[in-house]
Amino acid sequence: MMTRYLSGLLSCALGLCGGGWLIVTVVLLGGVPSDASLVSLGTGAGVALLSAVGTGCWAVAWRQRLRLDGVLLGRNRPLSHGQARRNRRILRRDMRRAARLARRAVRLEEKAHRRQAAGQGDGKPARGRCHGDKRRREEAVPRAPGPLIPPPRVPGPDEAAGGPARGSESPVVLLSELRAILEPLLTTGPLEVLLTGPREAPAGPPAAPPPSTVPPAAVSPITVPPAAVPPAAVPRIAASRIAVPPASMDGEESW
Amino acid sequence: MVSRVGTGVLVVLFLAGLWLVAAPFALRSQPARAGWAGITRVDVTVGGVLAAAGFLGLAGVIAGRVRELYADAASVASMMESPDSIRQGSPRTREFQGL
Repeated sequence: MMTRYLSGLLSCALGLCGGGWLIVTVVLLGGVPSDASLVSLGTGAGVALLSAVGTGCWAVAWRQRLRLDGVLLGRNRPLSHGQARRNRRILRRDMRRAARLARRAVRLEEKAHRRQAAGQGDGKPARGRCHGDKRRREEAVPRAPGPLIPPPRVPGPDEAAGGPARGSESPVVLLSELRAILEPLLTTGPLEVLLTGPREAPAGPPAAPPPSTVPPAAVSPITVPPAAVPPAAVPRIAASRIAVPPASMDGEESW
Repeated sequence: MVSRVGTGVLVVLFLAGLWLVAAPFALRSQPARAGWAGITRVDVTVGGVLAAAGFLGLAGVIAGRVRELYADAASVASMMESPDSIRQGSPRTREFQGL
């Protein structure tokens, strides 16, 4: 496969040597310049030049072939400043376009929800005229670039008091499920040993938990009904929120 | 394109070798019935070497190209013969994989 490239390279290299030798003999050995020496000099210079060109051509051809065959990998040239600036500009433009599209999608979704709610309330779909006016008004007023992710929903006062939630799943149920998931981890992991002490403690009345640094009301405003939570979970969960004695833990293991 | 330029350079190299051999006699810098001068000896020697190198280089390039053409034709023929060989790859690929 590489016979042609090798033979071309070798022949050109030999030509380069021959041309160089001609130049050297005329310059170093020729005493009086004659026609023969001038011819030799000119021919040697031409042969050397041509051989150099041929060597470069064969080298480039061989490299191209190797790159085509996958032997040579393409070089990762460092970006120039102008190219980097252009890339940054393109990236910013794409991000702006994506944000604009996302805002438009959110706006359309809100509009569809509103239209659906209006259709359910009136018993007939809403007319497009008022929506068109509103859209014109919205487009006239420039919007400040806000976050695309909506803020978390704040539970209502009845939900905070443990009442029924308006959503599909109550936060109380979610919290109890979360505690049921975390319960085995806290009881079997090494953290439990750190928090509650060794299990070989003498049986007796449970010791009073150390004083909490965080008031429970500030930790979670939702009061959990005791029936939904396993009986042993509440003190351990509470213990996980209690400040750990500084002698047993340094900052690396706290989470 | 680059290979063609390289091949052309080889042709010119061969012709330059021939010219170097013939130049002392064509330009009459070498008398007919006299011993060869030093510059004539150098020209003829270097010209002969260059001509031989150009000729051998051309022969090698042509031989390599013909060999590639034969390999391509053989791979195409084997792919046309059995469709299973398409999944296995060309003979060159199999040779590369050591199969």
